[in-house]
Amino acid sequence: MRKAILKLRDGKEFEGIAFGAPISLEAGEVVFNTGIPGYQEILTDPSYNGQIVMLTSPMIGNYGISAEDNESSGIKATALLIRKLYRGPVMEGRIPLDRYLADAGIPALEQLDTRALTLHLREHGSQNGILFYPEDRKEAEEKLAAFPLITERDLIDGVSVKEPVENPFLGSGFATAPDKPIRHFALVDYGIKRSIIDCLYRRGAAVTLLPPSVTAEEILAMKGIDALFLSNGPGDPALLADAVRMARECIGRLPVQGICLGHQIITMALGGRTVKMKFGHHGSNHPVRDCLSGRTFVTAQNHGFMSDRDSLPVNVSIWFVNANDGSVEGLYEDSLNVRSVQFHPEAAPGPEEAEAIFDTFMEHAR
Amino acid sequence: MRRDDIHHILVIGSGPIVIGQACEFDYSGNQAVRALKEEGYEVSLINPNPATVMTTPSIADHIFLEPLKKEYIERIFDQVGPDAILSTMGGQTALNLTMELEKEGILKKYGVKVIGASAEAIEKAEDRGIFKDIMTSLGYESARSGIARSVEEALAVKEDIPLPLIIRPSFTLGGMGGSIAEKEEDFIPLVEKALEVSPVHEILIEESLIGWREFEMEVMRDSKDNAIIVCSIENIDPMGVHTGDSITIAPIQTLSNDEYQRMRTASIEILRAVGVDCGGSNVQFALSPDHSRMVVIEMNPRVSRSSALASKATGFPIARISAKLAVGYTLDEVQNEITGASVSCFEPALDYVAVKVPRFELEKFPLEAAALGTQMRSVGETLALGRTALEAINKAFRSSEQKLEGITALDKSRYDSDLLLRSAHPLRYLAAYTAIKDGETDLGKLSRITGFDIYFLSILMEMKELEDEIAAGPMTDGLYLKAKKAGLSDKHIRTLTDEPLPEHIIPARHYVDTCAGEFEALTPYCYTSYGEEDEGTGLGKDAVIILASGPNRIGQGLEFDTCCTLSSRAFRKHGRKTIMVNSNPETVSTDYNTSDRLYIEPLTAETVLDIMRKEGTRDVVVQLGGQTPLNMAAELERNGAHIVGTSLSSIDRTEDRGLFSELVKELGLRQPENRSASSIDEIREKAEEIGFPVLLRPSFVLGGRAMFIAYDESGLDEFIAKPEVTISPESPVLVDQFLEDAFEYDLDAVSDGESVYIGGILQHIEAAGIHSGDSAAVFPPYKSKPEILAQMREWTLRLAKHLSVKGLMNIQFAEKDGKLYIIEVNPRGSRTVPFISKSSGVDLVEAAVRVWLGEDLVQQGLVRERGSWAEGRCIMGWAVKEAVFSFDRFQSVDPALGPEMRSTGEVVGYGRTFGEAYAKSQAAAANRLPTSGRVIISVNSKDRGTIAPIARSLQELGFSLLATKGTARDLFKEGILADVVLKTQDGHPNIVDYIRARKADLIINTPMGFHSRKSDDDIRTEAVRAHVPYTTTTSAAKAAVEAIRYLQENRFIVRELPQGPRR
Repeated sequence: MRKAILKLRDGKEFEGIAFGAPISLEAGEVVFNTGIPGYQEILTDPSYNGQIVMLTSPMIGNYGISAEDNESSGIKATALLIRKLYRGPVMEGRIPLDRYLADAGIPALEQLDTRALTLHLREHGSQNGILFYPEDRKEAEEKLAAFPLITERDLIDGVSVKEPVENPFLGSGFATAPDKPIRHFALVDYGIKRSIIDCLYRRGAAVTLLPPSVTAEEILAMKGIDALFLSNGPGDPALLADAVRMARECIGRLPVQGICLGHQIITMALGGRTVKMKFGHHGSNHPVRDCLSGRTFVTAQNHGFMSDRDSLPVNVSIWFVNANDGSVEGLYEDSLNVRSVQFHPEAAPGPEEAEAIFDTFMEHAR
Repeated sequence: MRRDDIHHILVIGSGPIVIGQACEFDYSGNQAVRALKEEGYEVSLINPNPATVMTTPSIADHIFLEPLKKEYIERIFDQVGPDAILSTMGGQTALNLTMELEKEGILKKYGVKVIGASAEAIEKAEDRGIFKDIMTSLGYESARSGIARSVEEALAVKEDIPLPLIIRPSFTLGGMGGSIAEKEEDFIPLVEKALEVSPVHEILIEESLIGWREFEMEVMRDSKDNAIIVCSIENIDPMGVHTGDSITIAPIQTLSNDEYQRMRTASIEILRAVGVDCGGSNVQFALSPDHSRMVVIEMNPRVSRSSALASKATGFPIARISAKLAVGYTLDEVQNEITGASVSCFEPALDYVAVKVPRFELEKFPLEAAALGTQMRSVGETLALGRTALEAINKAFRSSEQKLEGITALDKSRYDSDLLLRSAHPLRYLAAYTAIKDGETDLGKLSRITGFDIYFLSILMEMKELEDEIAAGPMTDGLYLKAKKAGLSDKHIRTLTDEPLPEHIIPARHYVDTCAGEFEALTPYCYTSYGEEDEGTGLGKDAVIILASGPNRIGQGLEFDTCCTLSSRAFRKHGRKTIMVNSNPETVSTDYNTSDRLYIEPLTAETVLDIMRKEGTRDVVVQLGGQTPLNMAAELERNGAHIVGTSLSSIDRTEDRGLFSELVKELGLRQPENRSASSIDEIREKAEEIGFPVLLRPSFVLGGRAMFIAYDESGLDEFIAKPEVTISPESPVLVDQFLEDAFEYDLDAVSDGESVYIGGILQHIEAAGIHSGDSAAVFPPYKSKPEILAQMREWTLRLAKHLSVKGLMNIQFAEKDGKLYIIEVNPRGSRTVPFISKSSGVDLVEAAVRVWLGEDLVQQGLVRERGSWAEGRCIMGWAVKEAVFSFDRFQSVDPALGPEMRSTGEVVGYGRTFGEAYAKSQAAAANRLPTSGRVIISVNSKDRGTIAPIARSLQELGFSLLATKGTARDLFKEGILADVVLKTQDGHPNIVDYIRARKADLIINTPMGFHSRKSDDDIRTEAVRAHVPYTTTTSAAKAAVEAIRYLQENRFIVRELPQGPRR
């Protein structure tokens, strides 16, 4: 039982008990997620790359870690903060969370006043923080002061493919690529969640995973592609000028679709802007209204940036809005055949009811 | 969008409190009525339960305390003309009634639309066969089962599915009549019983999933197909224990995201398929221990006990939103009142856990091992919130007020812990803890034996390690904080260590905000937890703390909660802020907008003192929550609390029998001869002095716990042998003269210390010796001499002045041979306050609150002259209060009434005549008084004189008479001819055979004393089983005659409760 400290950029400190891997001054943007189950999916979601994730659900680790629930090759979050770790036995075939974190080299804190931290972030906004043992205070404080802001970090490089991959194998528990695909997506990987590919496979689509550096020429030269799909991923979309250019050059020549970061890139490619949110939407309970049908879905969300509604060109229509704060949750431009959503229709973790949006994607991918 | 095709909505309440249907429906109905009025609809309400908040004048536009029967509803359609009926707020009772109105074409005849759940959806959800087909078509598994309408069909089902089998009757509430057939020979009797209790004579026989994990989803869905899960609930007790009897935790803890989402998606698909599209439902699932099979158990297309729990656990007001959906709104159109910043189409995120522990009455209704099953047995429940499961479980056990200071090992001299471990029993979780305390470390094995998930056993292991650590010492600040964070009370810690505790830590205040802190909350409510940052600031000394009554139990329930709710309303109306403390999630008092601040916390002195310090106020109201607040009042006062109203020393003078006797003597009043005995020998001695019969009781009890009438020496022995009776100088036994055949009265009053306003005097219909809570009673008194009543008023004034009573007081009187006796004085709100307030048109609680705020009764206009009394009158003509029992849940319990209270609820009947009022009270209590047929009379020798005129009247009303030998002989002497029937011990056919053969329509059977007690027991038990009305006193029999006379006229009259205060 070793004490450790989380210090935020604005000076606020929280004390906890360290578990998982030993702490070596991990720093990153501290964000909270209000989902209840799903810690494994959250930890392995590449969109959390570079972030210290705090879960508001107070008891974590209850059902262990199962080989079939990873959203990527392993944990992508920098560190985990929770109120209480479950240390008891887990079901056969599963691994205790503590051990999984230790094996993955990811440190974590429990016994933290996560409620106070949530309220602090709500009040003062998401910001950088650092984990350290009391004796490393000085070094930690220096590192925190010098640590780049999330808007200054390239977080995509470490979580995306370097070379094109045809129909990646997702692992047990996920679908495999269809034998006779009815669509073929060029899918740019900014740190994609496996469940997105899984949703496409299950609808009969083949995918070619492309590195983030891919250019419009390369994409347009590909054979048999029905649509361009931009994935989710970590960090500030404003840093991705090349990606925005690539998307802009493809729009009008291919159907272009995206989720989360992909949606933000599309926003900019269409001439809009993105802005950083105070503390973002991270959870499994966000209501999103479909402006076409009037129906509201409860969705999984994980974003700290969003499309600025006022910046959108007149030809762009709003597909979804957040029913709580009115923020833009999805776009479409029919004449150019572009559509994108900010939230996560693939869920994982979260409610599955918006998954039908992949049907719309399939329908418009041609 | 708001529906404009309807204008006037009738809300159906759930009627009296019975096991399986309690005050959660007052809470939901109350929310619904308010939500509908907000939208500008005219709202009518029918509920014969006078204890409810919902029937308080001004809540609905038209209030009818009338029986929940189609004939009375039809009259309401006639009289006030609603064009819609909300079916989903009154539990199974309201659903069944709606179905009946629909099937008989009554709704169509009056052009009334069903809103909430359509009759079609109700049918699909409730008819187990149809429901199962829907599950199959959706691709979900349900338990293997078959429907049977006869024993033969049942046997055919059994061919295909092996024992054990669950047998469930269709359309019953709380799983009533359900059972588990483990053995071949049990099968047919259980099938017969289930067929009998099902109103449609249909049962479902299904494979046993005993030992599986059980989960529930509280779902809401609207007309746009928006659907949300308000709350997921995991039963800690495995399948095989009714969910109402299970310890539960919210949200679900042991499911991965995949498993959870599978259940979530299934729940929504089920609502869609069943057609619930404007309200809430509860869907129950079972999961095999290895998580490989998920089976859908059932759904309830209405608000329920679980939805009340879910509302309190999350802050999401399901009933309120259901009402809005019922009138056309969609979830995205309704604001979340808690945050004020989000819509209701979201799923609450919890950053705490909510644990429910059911409250049983093991002493009143003993349960054998393995007694729990498909039928609910608990009488109440308690909710605790904590940041961790261990903390919340410890708090919840403490909140349940069952003498458990949190998770504790069982006393092995009292319980067979190993047996309980293997049994569906309320104490099974504690039996598991006992095993762990005894050194069991193989949690896998323990899980297989008990059916508890390893996760919940690990929590017990954590508890054990903590207890060991405390016991090993030393007690440090760090260890103390750790213990407090785990939910241990100071008292609990002190049982583990002799070391002095570090300085008491005041816990942090946390908000329940529906969103885990994501949004700032406008009207949150609170719980406390240790070692964390506080939210918000104290309300300061302007605020008054109201202590509510905790979990429902026999003798302390809805009535007290209503008093607390009304007092909060009155305080706020007159400009003071209120802080409510309660642990009972079923109640209106724990609704987030009843008070300025609400704490869901255990009602213990430690917690209340912490809240007092946190909030910066000293004023505490202890008069309204029954015995629970009173029991801690002294400790609160010692630690700086200011007890609002009547002083503690005055309360003591009424509670302590010795002091009370002195008081009676001092004021020149009269009470039954009484002594106090501190040893077994002394009991005999004192009984001898007073003379038999004597009434025996332990001091400081509510609801007549362990109270006993001894007619002779052997009776004394029986009392002494009771396990709950302890005799010592510290807890003496009270030996009182028992006034046999006396008339008893209940008087409720408010005093300002000088004057008294008597709300009303109730006369009991049952004779003395039957607990006041169990006795039918009438307001105003129906047969008493004016001078006796005058004496009561005069004595009341004398007592109030002398004790400086400030606030409510209740006095019980008895009259025997023209002499008045005072039985007891309770200087607090009583069970009858809501009843008297409604029936007299004066809100006694508000009058008390105004006294506390400094406005005396003369200033209030209730009493004309300072130092005198005034009295209310029944504004409804006659008001009869009838007690309602849940005996049909406990087949082995003798339903004979006695000094120990056993009723779970009450109803009222209002009428121009006594007969009308009594008839309605019986109809409302579901006592089916016959209008023709056969009456069986068997009365003891003392009653032979009074029975003759009753028997004659019954004959005149066209009944045939059947009497036991002695009774028949005495009737014959009076010129009344009755056929003779054998007593049970005298051969066949006897009384019981007649009842079984449905050849008895009314039974008058007064207790025969100890000699033929067994026979009396058999008769009454059989009558309860066969639903034949029975009376145990001649006065009740006489009342029944008057009621039958009214019923024979075959008119159904409904009487609207006047609105607004009469002052």
